[in-house]
Amino acid sequence: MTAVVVGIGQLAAGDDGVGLVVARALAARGFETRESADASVVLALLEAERRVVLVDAVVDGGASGTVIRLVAGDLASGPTPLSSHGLGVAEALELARTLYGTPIAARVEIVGVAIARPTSTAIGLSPAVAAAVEPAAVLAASLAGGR
Amino acid sequence: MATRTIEVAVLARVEGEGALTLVLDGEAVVDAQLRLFEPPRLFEAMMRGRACTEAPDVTARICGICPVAYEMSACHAVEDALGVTVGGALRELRRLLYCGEWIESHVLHMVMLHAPDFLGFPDAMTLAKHHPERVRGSLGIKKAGNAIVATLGGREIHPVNIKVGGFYRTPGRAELSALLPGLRAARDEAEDMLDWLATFPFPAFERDYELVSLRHGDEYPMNEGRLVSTKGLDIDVHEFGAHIHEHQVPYSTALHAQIVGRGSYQSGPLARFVQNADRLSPRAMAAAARVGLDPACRNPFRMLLARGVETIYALDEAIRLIEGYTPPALASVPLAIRAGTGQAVTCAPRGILYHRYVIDEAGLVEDAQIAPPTSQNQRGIEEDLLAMGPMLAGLSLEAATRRAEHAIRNYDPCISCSTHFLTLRFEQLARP
Repeated sequence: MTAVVVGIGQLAAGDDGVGLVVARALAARGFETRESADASVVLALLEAERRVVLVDAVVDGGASGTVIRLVAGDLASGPTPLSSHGLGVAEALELARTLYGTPIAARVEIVGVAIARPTSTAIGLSPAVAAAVEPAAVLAASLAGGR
Repeated sequence: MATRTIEVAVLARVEGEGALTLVLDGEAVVDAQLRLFEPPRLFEAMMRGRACTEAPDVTARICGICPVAYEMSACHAVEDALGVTVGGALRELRRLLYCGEWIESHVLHMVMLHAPDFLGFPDAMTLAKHHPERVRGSLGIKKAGNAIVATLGGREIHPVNIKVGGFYRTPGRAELSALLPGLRAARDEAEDMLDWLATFPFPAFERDYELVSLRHGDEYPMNEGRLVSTKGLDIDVHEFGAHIHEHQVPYSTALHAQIVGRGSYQSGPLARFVQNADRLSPRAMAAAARVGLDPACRNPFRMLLARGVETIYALDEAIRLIEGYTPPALASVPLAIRAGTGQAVTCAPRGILYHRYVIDEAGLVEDAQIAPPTSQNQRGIEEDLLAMGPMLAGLSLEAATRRAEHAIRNYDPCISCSTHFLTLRFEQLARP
């Protein structure tokens, strides 16, 4: 079974919405996708024994628009506590390992798109990040199992 | 005079941003200020000049945890102004939608946000390491609640299928019946969870609260009822403004509220339970009795158990509503726009949520007032902390800080509703 592509982000925060834009591009190509402002959706998918390809914007990931494949250990898990705001990706993966075990948590692949940290509300992607949508979609599609 | 100060950079597990300053003089807390510095949200001003029919969708954005509450209060208030009554299956679907929100909001708070306080864990991640089965169970219950909201609302957060007068589309029987196995499993899980929660150590603390909630003639309140209290308030929701006044305090972007002539009050699951325990389903009543929660309870820490009982109730009620569901002929009641003022109170998970709209003849909003539960509970939270002096004085500063945070979380405060992390400032005044 192909993996579910999960786009994480916030369209109103400019480049932070790139994960959602990539998910929409893949939905248009027939992939099963989800869009979310946080990573809690990943837990439900893992519990349902699905493989997940997560696409999210990454700060401190290099020049804006750089597409990177990440593993869970690459993510900074600072003292960002679980709150009712939702789960960060690192927290969701740590929780998945705790609740469902490492083999299940390993069913998550992560595609990151480097962005500059958003400083204000904005709709739309910057040119550098917009140019990364297609390469990120191609990488996510190959990790998801092609189509 | 020496002053001891603790700075906690992040008070986690609340929704929104704020800070607390406590000043202790021996066993007395001489000052308690819950400073909510979340920027003002300005939703009331945003509604002016917009179509009254936009109120549910606009105000739903106030909160990602309880958007249904905002949609329900907005719908009922606008319908009140337009002279529209929504009954029958549409009314029942709204109740089902609210059950979904109570389930997801309550279980998130009880297990992920509040249980760590009782068990002495710093966060939910540590709780998950020690009690993975409980966290898995809670996620399962939450999923059942989310499924209701997604089925009726079109999506889990900020549902898009709700409108003044009813829904854009109503589900068929089979769509709702498909939710039943998940809800029944969640109900069993919620019973186990409540029994687990009841084993927590509850601090001995009580106050003579004025508990305020809705009360309905024959059902546990959600969307309708009179506003009643444990100190004699018994009013139609249209009298809200005459009895409950909001006022600004210099240190918070959320308005405080008080009952005219009496002062602060507490709204939320404990107030609802205390005044409506006789309206619970037999299963929820039995669960409350099993864990020793009765209407005489005035211990805010035991609000956790009231949430647990309400979770069982909401699951029970959702199952009942779905089993009895016959799809309505129309997805919504037709509206005739007219000028007027409409008001409504509905039961958000955290307490009563009041909306009032003044609407002109073109159907545009001239004025809006929204009183969220956390805003209304603010002064009561401060008064809890003021009364906790003797309990805090015997603790180390670190333990006292944790206990103060624990007490704030009794109310499941939703700070961005009421106006996001809490920075805690705790001062100990030494005696001269």
